[in-house]
Amino acid sequence: MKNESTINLEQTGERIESNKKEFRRHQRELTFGEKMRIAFSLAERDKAIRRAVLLPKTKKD
Amino acid sequence: MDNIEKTIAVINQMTDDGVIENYALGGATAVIFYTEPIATEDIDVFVHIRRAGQSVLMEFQPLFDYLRTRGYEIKGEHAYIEGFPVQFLPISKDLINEAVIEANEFELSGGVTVRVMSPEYLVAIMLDTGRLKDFLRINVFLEHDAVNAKDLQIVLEKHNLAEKWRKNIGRFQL
Repeated sequence: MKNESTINLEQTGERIESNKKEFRRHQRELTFGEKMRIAFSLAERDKAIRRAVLLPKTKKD
Repeated sequence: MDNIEKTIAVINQMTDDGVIENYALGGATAVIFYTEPIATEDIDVFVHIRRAGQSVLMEFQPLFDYLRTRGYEIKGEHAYIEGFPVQFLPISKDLINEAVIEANEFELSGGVTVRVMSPEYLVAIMLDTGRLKDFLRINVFLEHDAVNAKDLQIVLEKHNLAEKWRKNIGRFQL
């Protein structure tokens, strides 16, 4: 028999999964222009992450 | 009209003016069109250009000249049209040629039409290209249930990609 914390964990997992699906469905329904704007922002974010990872750390970091 | 519609309108005008014969959006831009936003740095436009035996660079020269005279900046491999970086790509193989010819046409806001490669051709091209990001994009299509399995099979078999699909099926979340 499952204890309460296991059940809570499973329910939270299901809720996260459902929210994720809902979010992606919503993203799909945006206009092409809106989707492209987000897509370019995501590329900018990726670039910033790549720069941060690749640049050598200084003492200030 | 949103900026992206203005960009597409310029590309349509290039077709009307005979600078390009035909075009279709491909790559990440086309994936985004059918599914959800994924990171991209440009708009990939595959174009048919009248060939006269020149190099790709020479073939694209009239296209870049056309854009320059209309005030659009060409920088590196991109043309900046109405604020969006656009990469014009030549047709390098039969599969891409067919994808452009068979592209779907949609109407955007402001009555602007756009030609987009079909999901089945996009998946076939991504499978053929075979980079890690291509496999991730195939998964995006499959997760959104945006591919007609029967039509995909026809394209894969026609272009000798059915075996590659079978070999890589474990990578896809079917």
